[in-house]
Amino acid sequence: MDKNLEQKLKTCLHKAVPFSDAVQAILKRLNDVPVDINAVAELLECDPILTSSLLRLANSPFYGFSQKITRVDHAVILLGVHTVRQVVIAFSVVKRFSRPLVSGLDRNNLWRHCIGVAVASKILARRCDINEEDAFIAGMLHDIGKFILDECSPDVYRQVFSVRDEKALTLHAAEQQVMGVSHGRVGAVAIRFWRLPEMLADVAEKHHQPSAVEPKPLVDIVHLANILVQGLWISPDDELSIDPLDPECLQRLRLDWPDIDALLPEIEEMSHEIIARFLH
Amino acid sequence: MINTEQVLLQNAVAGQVVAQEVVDKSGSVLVAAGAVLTERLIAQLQHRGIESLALQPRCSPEEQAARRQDIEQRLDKQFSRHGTDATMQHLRQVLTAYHGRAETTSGGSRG
Repeated sequence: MDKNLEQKLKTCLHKAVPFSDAVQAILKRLNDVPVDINAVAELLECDPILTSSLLRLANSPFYGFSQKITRVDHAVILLGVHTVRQVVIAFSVVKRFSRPLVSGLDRNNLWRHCIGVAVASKILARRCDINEEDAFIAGMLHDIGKFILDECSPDVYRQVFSVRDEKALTLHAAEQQVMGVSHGRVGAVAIRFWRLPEMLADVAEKHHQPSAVEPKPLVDIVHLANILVQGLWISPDDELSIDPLDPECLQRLRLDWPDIDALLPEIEEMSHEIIARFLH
Repeated sequence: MINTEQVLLQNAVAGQVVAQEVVDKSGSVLVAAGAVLTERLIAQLQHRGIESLALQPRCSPEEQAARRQDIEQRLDKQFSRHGTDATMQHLRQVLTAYHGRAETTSGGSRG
């Protein structure tokens, strides 16, 4: 990677921390054992936007609670500490990177794609007996490197898009050619910098090549989810192209084509539902 | 917003998509919006005294053919880089079938 670009990315990561002091306090509280639900709820209530987002998500059909949840402490109890932590991280990152486009990257479209991948990952994880909430957040953050590149180096990233279009390359290949680094790598660096779980960095880095090194189920899930969301045209940008699917990943997940076919309606319907709740 | 048409239950056909949730006199939801009608479901609604419901409009065979062509074109563009790769061809078949099913029943509300 170009020294200049590397320096810019470093400066940018320091500025682009997506977690406010309030959110950091919440995340810290959620790590307590045993966790103090009232303390967490009180902190959450200090951030009305986060609270309303959390309640909106808790009341989505995704979680299937029969009664409407109106109180934060109930949401924390019903969703569980692990899910609340993931949702707080996800909302904070979406909020941090939801300002209008800079380099020609349509951030709203990209978030639609990322939320679709989060939903698809969760549905695939349920089918494959892998932790659903880990899959959701891993899907949500898989392309975070694109937002960071767009923010830190809009001129260079704009050039990446024109090279991609002129030479009909994949975005990954165009990034390598222009910058010598891919959005996957940049995302992984950011996730480690923010001290989020290592497995999320792993997914961001390897979601385009799940078999390159030691395969991991979560990477396989997000790899497949990313391609299914492209194929379902969840976001307008998804129609531009589709990434190559690694057949070994299907074998490792023990999924066949009829399994995938059966999951598509739920993936499409839930993606639109959750996108509406995140990006109202 | 999806187009809807109010249809007498006796004229509804299995395969059509419910556009607005159907509720009984007490306000309980019998069928959610987006559900696909089946013969069995129509019979159940008749039994519950439902007379009419909002459905997504059905499309003509010409419209269906045009939609299928549109799906093929969109997938052609998306898959143009993958040539004859067996996995991608399989994936494309699954997606073609899925989009075809969704398009013919959803009245083209998507995309």
